[in-house]
Amino acid sequence: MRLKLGQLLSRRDFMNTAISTTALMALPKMATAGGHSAVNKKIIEAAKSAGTADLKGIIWALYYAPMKASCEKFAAETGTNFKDIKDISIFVAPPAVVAEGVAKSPEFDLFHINSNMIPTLASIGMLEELDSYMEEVGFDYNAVGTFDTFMKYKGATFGMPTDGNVHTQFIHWATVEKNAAAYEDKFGKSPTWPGTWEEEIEWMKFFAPPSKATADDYYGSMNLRNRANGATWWFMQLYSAGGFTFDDDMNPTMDSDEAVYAWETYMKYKDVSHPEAPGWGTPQMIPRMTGGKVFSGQYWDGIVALNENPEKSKTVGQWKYGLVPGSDFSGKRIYRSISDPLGALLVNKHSPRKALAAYLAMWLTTEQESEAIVADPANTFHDPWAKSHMTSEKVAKTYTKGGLEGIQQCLQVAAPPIYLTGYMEFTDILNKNLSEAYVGSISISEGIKKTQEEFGGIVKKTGKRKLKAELESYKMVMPKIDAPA
Amino acid sequence: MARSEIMLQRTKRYKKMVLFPLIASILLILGPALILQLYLSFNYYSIYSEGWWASEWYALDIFSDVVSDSRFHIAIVRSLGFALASTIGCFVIGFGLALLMYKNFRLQWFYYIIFIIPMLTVPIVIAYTAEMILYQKGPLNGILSSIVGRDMLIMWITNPDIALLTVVLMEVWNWAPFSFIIMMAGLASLPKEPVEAAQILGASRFKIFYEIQLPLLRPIIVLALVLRFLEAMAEFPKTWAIFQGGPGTATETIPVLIYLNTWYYFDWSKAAAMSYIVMMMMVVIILAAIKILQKENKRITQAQAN
Repeated sequence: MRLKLGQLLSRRDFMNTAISTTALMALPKMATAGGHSAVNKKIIEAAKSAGTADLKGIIWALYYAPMKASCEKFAAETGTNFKDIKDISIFVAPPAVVAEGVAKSPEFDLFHINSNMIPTLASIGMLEELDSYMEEVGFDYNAVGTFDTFMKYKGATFGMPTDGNVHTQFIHWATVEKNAAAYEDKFGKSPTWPGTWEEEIEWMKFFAPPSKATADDYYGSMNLRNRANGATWWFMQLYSAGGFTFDDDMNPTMDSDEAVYAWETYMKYKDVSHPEAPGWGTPQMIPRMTGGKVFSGQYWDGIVALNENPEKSKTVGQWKYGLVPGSDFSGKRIYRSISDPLGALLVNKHSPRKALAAYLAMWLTTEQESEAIVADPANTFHDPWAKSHMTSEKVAKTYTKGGLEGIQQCLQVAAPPIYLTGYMEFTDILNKNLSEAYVGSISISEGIKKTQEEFGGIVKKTGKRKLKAELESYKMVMPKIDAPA
Repeated sequence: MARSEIMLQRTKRYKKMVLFPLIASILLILGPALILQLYLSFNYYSIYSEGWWASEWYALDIFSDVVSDSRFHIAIVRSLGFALASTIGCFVIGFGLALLMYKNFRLQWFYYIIFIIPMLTVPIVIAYTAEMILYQKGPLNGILSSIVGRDMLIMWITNPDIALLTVVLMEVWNWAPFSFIIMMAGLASLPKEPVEAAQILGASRFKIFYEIQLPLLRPIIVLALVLRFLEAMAEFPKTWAIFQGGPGTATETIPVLIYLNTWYYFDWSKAAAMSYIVMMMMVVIILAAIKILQKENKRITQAQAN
């Protein structure tokens, strides 16, 4: 006897099955018992079999706050808690973590720290390799572009990212709209998006004229120029010019043509920056953004969420986010953004609870758990970085669809600062010299000369052979494409 | 043995007994740290090596590296300048307030509390509060503008020529009460008889201050200046919180440079050698101060005997 399809499956059943299947396909790797994805379930099983413990970590409370619920969930499933934290800012954590490493202390299990410290910390021998744990549970970062390479050093994996923290282009579009006709009259084209650093400066000069800046209290550039942060922008300019910091023999190339271009470009922003910019960090600049007193720049993507939060910003809906400017200096257009500091969870090799710490770090990084962490509307300290974050409604609610598009573009061309042992010293020397030149204490050429010499000194001190062996890891982290797809 | 000699020996023994626990604790706590620091100054230690015990012997190379480092020279000059300026500022204000306050008057306690509040404030709070006050369009420039009748747009935080002065001002605000308390104690402990005698003889208030009170206060003044100077040489939280050594290197003082070498460059041997050199400088200053104090005490004792 032959049965018709309708007898086997009613129309209602068919529709229900179709909807469920579609929903399951839209949520890859999810839909197993207990509401957990397959990988999360495996992490829980592995953690349970490794025993229980009360884990202790160094993490800034602002970063910990959105992770708390997920940590409690992990504790409920496995019996392993993560409550005991040493609350210090991510900016001052590196010395504290280095001190733990030098002392080979087993006290802390997890460190939430800038992943650009991985080469330094791995060189001290304090980081646990995570590849075997990842393999055990079938963990995959599912990161945008090659963002997961930020967690690798000499072929091994040492971190779990919790934070994209990529510089994204911000433009106060309300100003562009207001003056679009005048722009068209002057340039014979409509303002679309600044493609290069030079074009961005031109935009700043037009839309926030320096001659009117003081009277209007509206300045062109939001880029930081203080001693602690300036180099972050300089690296984008160097890399986009096709430059790099060292040659293959680990000789500094701080006096290369590309480096000179980066210095000159960096200084050109002085015309469109606030006169107090040399002393300003985020506490001064962020209120200017949310108050609509600055036109454009490249900034950490967490501020997208802040700009678009009606409770904290006066400029909701006034901004456009997108790809950072690039450069034609090398003969072809190259775009380079930067991720620094990139918050990541690293596991202490000296901890007797390192396996549990590794499972917890992975748990927090899974698609299932990280979505809520990066989507937190109040503590926007974790920024999207995984492919799934880019299509998540929850994340889009915090960052807006436009914001997510900009972040996704920049993540594809995100570069590190100097991803080598001695990252902090290299960066401070560069910051120091850039700052001195910016305030006019030294000339650009003196700054370049000093940087070249001082970088040479750091290489000599740290060991040329050692750094040469790390160079490959640094290059691995560099983006492989000139422009985002 | 004469009775006086026995008494002298007893006094000496008593002094030793009292001082022994103090010296022992200092040696116990500071001794190992100073020895390790000295070891690191002569042996190059890299945090990437096996351990500090495996450091390589460098003889005087690390010291010579520090001594020939122009950044270190400039940092010393900056620190000395800062310490000198802030010490003078603290002393002038502290002493001035003490002169106004040392005689009893109504609500004296109230002013006393008000004047010592800055000293009780955490330096980091002072730094952040000052930062808000010192913006180009902040309250301080606003007040100055209304006083002089034109726009004052002093860049307290971002002008490299002014930045160190800004730290001096913060330091003076923070620590003038320290000089105030010491000088108050000094003025209160002055004998009344010479002043009263001078008043009877018709001496002016200035003459009494200049010829009687000031000479008697000299040991206290030296103490107040030296203590404040040493403290100022070690100032770090305010400088770091606002400037991190910038703009450029305008506020890169000795504590900032040592901090950078220790915790940014992880060059612990160089930082140890720097610290030793600075410590030796401080020891020289302290010895000179002790010498001056002894001389002043001797002078006063002689004057009283006459």
